[in-house]
This record gives sequence, C-alpha cells and structure tokens, in this order.
Amino acid sequence: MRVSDKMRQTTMLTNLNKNRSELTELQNQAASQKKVTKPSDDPTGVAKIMHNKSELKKLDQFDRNIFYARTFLESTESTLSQLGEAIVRAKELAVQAASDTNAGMPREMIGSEVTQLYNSVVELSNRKFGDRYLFSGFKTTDAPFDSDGRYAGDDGQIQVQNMSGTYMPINLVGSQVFLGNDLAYGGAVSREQYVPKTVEDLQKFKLNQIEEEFQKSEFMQNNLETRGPASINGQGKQSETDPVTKARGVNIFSALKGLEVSLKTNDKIGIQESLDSLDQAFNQVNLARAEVGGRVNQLNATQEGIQRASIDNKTYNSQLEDADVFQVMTDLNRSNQTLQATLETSAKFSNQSLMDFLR
Amino acid sequence: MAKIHGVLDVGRRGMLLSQTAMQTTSHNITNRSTEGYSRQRVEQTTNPTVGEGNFRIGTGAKLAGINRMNNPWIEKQLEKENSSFSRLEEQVGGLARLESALNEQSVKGLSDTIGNFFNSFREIANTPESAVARTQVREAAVNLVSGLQLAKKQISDVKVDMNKSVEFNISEVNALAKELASLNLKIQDIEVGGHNIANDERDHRDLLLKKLSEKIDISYAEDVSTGMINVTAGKTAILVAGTTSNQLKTAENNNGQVQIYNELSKGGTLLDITDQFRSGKVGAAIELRDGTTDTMINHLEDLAYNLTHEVNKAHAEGFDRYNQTGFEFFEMKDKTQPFSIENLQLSDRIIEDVSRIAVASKANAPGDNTVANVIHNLQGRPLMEGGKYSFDDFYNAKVSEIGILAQRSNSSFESQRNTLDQLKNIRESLSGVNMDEEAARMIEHQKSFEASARLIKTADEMMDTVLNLKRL
Repeated sequence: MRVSDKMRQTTMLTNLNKNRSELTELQNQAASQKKVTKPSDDPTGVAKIMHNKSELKKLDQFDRNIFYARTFLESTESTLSQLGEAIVRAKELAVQAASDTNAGMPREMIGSEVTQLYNSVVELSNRKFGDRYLFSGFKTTDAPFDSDGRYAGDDGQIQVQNMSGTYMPINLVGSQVFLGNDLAYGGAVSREQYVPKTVEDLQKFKLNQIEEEFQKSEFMQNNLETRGPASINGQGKQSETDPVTKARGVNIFSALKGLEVSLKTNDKIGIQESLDSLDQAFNQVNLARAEVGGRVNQLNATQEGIQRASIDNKTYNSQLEDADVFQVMTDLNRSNQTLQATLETSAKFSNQSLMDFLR
Repeated sequence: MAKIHGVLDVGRRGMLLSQTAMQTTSHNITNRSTEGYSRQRVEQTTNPTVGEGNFRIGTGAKLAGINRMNNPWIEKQLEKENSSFSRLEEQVGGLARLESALNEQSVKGLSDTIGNFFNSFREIANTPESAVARTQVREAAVNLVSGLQLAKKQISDVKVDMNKSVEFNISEVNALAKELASLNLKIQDIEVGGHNIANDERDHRDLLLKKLSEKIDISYAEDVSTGMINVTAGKTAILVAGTTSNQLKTAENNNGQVQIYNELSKGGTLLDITDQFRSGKVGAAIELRDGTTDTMINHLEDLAYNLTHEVNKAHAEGFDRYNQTGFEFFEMKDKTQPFSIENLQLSDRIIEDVSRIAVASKANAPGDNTVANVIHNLQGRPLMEGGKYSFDDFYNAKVSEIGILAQRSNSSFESQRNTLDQLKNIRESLSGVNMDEEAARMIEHQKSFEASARLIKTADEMMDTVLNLKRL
C-alpha cells in the first residue's frame, strides 16, 4: 500500500485523539466518581436514577413528617398522662370524702382541692404544641375549652402523610377526649380514615362536611342539656349511648364539677355517684392514651420501613451511577500508558523520510 | 540528417523535460499539506522518430502532459460521507447542548425543583398555621416557575443557535457558490484547447464541492464538453450554472424560525425550500430545530400546563387563613395571553401575603390541611398524556429520550468518523504526496538533467572533433 505523508499524519492524529478522549472520559469519571454524568451515558439508567432521586426526596419528607407527627402525638400523650393523674387524684379525694369518717377533713376543704384539679384539667385541655392547641381539631389557633368546659374547637382530624398514599391523624379531638362525644363503640377515641386524594373527592368531602355541619347546628339548636354540671340524672351508665347527644363517654369537666359541687354541698350520695363517672373518665383517658400509643407504634414501624427503603434506594442508585473506582483507576493507568506510547512513537518516527539521508 | 545536431537536440529537450519534472516535484513537495491537493505527475513520451534509410531513429523524450493522481469516484464518495459526517457532527453538538440543559446528574434540575415544590406542600400539611411553612411553599412555587422558565430558555437557546447556524452556513454556501462559478470559468479557459488540464483548479473545485456538501444537500454534474460543473442545492434550487451562481436567501418566518428561500428570478418570487435540506450542517440544524427541540419545548409546556392546572384546581377548592375561598395558585402575567411558560407566575396575592395560600377544606379551620394533602398527592398521580404518567415519570422519560437520541447519534458519529477516516486514507493513498517518493524522483530528475547536459557536452566535443578533422 502506498502510504502518503498526510495519511501518516492523520492516522497519528486520530490515534492521539482517540487516546486523549478516552483519557478525558476516564479522568471525568475519576473526578466525579460517577460513571453516568449525562443522560446519554445510560439513558434508561438515568430515568431510573431520576425516579429514585425523587423517590428519595419523598422518603426524606415522610421521615420528617413522621418525626413531626410523633412529636405531636408524644406531646398529646404526656398531656393525657397528666390528665389521668388528675382524675386519679380526684378519685382518691372522692373515696376519702365518700366515707363519713374522712380523716377529719371537712368535705368543703376537699372540694377546694377538686376545684384546683378542675382548673388544672382546663389548663391541660388547652395545652399547645408549638403554636397549635392539641385538642381543638382544625381550629388549632383557638383555645378549645373555656373555664366551663365548653368546646370551641371542631372535630377535624389533622392527617399527615407518612408514606405514599397513607395518612395518620396526629391529633385527638377535644370533644371526644374531654366531653366523651362521638366516641367509637366501647368508648375509644375514633379515628378518621378517609382522606380525599383528588379534587373530585375533595369536592364531595366538602359537601359532606357542609351537610354534617348543618345537621350539627340543627341538633345544637334543639338540644336540651341533659347532663349539666350538677345534674345527677346524667351520671348513670355512661357507656351506653346518650339518646340525645349520642355521647358514649363521660364529660370529664362535668364529672369533676359534679364532684366539686357535691363536696361543697356536702352531698354524700352525689360524691359516691361521681366515683362511678370518675372511673369511667379514667378509663376514657386510658383508651385515648392507648390510641395515641398505637399511632406512635404504627409510625415507628412505618419509619423503619422508610429508612430501609431509603437505604435500598441509595444502594440501587449507587449501582446505577457510581463508578467502580478500582476499575477506573486501572483503566486510567492503562490509558495513560497508551497515550505515552503513541506520543513517543509519533515523535520518533513521523519525521523520517528519505530526505534525511540524502547528502 | 546531421546526427550530432540530433544528439544536441535530444540533450536540450531532455534538460527541459527534467526541469519541468523537477518543478512538478517541487510543486508536489510544497503542496504536501495543501488541503484537497492531488499529487501531479509528469507524463513523458517518446519524441516522433525520424527515418534513416530502413531504420527509425529515436529523437528523445517529450512532455506528454502533467496529470493529477485522482480518482473521481473516491472524491464523490468522500463528498457524500463527509456530508453525513458534518450532519452528525452538528447533531451531536446540538443534542449535547439539549442534554446539558436537562442534565440532572451533576446539578439539581427541574425534577428536583418539582420534588421540592410538592414537598413544600407536605411541609405545610404538617403545620398549616405556620408562616414559615407557608413561606416555604411560596419560595418553592417561585422556584418551580423559574425552573420551568430556565429549562425552556435553555432549550430555546439551542433553537436560537440552530437558527444562527442555518443563517451562517447559508451565507457560506453563497460564498462557495460564487467561488465555484469563477473556478468554472478558469477551468474552461485553461482547458479550452483540449491539451491542458487545470489540475490545481480542479483540485480546488473538488475541495469546494466537499465543503459545500458539508453544509447542505447538493447534487452536481460535470458538463463534459466545457469541463464546468452545475450544482443544485436541495432538490430544486440551482446554485451554480456554468459561470453564474445563484444566492440562497434566509429570512425569519412568523414563528421566529429562519427559513431558506430560493429566488426564482432577480427580485422575483421567493420559494421556501427549507424542507429540501436533510443533510449537512444545515440539514441537521433544521431537523434539530423543527424536530427534537420543538418537541421537547412542547413536552415542557405540557408538563407546566398540567401541573399548574391541577394545582390551581385543587387550590381553588380551599380556604385561606382569612377564611376566603381559594383562587388560581398560578396565573398568567398577561391575562389576555394564552398559557405559556414565560407567561406563568405565582399568583400576585400569594406573593404579597402567604396567608392567602388556601390549604383548608373549610372556613375557620387554620389547622385543616386537607387541600394541601390533595395537592401534594398530585405528584404521584397519572395526570400526563391522558392519565398514563405522573409528572415525574413523564419528565424522566423525556430526559431519557434525549439521552437515547444523543447516545445513538454519538455512536453513529463515531462510526461515521471511522468510515470517513478510512475513505480519506484511501484517497490520500492515491492522491497524497509521499516525501520518499518525491525525494527519489528529485534524484532521478537531477541525474537525468545532468546526463542530458553531459549529452550536450559530448555532442559539443564530437562537433569539435568533426571541425578539427582538417587539422589532424
């Protein structure tokens, strides 16, 4: 084959170029530690990597959501535990006052301690987490209870997403925990499961809400107070549904107020009866605590799952996009040597011609 | 017939011939690196013989012609492969830019911004009362809008570049056409007698044709009687006809795209011939501009429209902190204009006051996050392309598509480069200059020059001998 000077030159340059571009590519990989630095490096891989990254972002957010939800629930739990203690103390006092030989303490004095307990329960019911009232439903900026135990919140349950498509209500509604309204069967705090996920669902949800609100206001207008603070009749069998308010539980404020009034009026039968309702109140608070505990457990389990998924996700992405460092270094060395060899031979042999030997 | 004079004459002609050959060799040596040069060779032949009784006696050598070593078939192939090579080169460059506009591997891109946007609604769902979470939503929404705008701008920039490339290349094509026409004239002048071949001019013309086909689709043919070539650009536009050349025109159309026009007569009708170009740099630029880039912009617009539309729909159902019903979360800057990414902005009312973000499903419920839950749920819902893909999946798939295109054109480009290199080697093998060869020829010519001179000297001595005959 006839080899012209230009051929030799182009071949040399082509080889050098090839070596250099290979070297640059490898250097790029070594510097970034990634084998995929642009979509064309691995188009299908890139789609997966991007998907994983946005998934990871979501998982991070769920992790944060769970952290928040748990803190909120834990704050609720500690409030409920104090509430339980207050009720226990009230019961002790009631037991003490129920007997005629009540260690010489006049019932009226015991009554003033119960007043303090009542006030502390009011304070507990208005506890905040950050800027939000724990027990006022969606009306988180309004104090849920006034000093008479009247509820100013609503029955909104704040749903927090803890996984794709899964929600957890983080608050207990004050009217359930403290007033015993709308409790589930057996006196447990009910948990709203439905969360609208699309605009259409949302529209239906809003209509339902309006209807419920209307019914409630109708009901409130026609409602006769059957279990006022001093009402004796109302403190019968609270685990049965109240025919009017549909309450299955105990109004803790009424129970305490009832005890207080009975103490101050020296009403022994009233005191004995209030023992019953305090028992039920304690039970009601414990059921609420159980609900909170259950939610926290569930969140913990979910969080574990999320952390595992997050690790899996990272591992998968690393497999997809991270360079094999040893491989890259070996290749880099080899490539460098090739380049040197090319340069050396080019320098040595490219300039020789017959001209050099003609004198 | 005086024999000694014959020898003298042969020597003289030989010297002249050697000089010519030497000059051609030097021409070859100096043009070793000239682009498109084909080495030239002196063809020599025997001088007509003279009759001497029964015999014919040779009278030395003479110049038969100076030819270039060139295979027109290879040149034609080279021109074709070069055309695809340039097309792929331009395509690879354009796609690399598109790719970097959408690259999320090294920098945080649109996908990340979308993720942040939906996460901000997850954050506000945790604490709808908090001004911090609300501000976060506002910032994420502003970032989303500017992210979309940036992505579109970067893609549109590629388009602008492609337009410039069309303009620039067509102006080069016009310059080349002029030069070709003047070369046609020169070649005709030189070759008119039928004896001379315009070697250098033909080399140059071949080179210009290659350069022309790097830019646009051309077809050409040589008029055998005159040696001139006629060139057609695309399918219909006559670019060079003999010694005249035509100029292609470029102008922007209503969509801001530079189109190519052929002027049928001076000041006459302009014919849009943009579609005729598929090859060369111009072909690649047009394809990229009107195809891939446009499609990508449309996809981005689709994504932006669907995303903002769905968010708006949900947000309109909500109630803000002032217990007023929601409104469009994203709006058009200029309400009279239709939707476009440039025209998109976050609602003024929200920019002024984050309390207007409506995430509650009813009034008087500051802790209600129902609408926020609906909005961040949009992220995973199949709302693109008639309910097939989620926003993330849709965008990822489009990025991946560009990646596939770029990957494919990269590998075609590489293999085309190999093919072209091979072909260039074949051409150089035939037409390229080899120093060893030229050095050998130089010696050969020098020696034959010396020998011819010696012949003359010998003839002179012989003449002397003859003249001195009487004195002996």
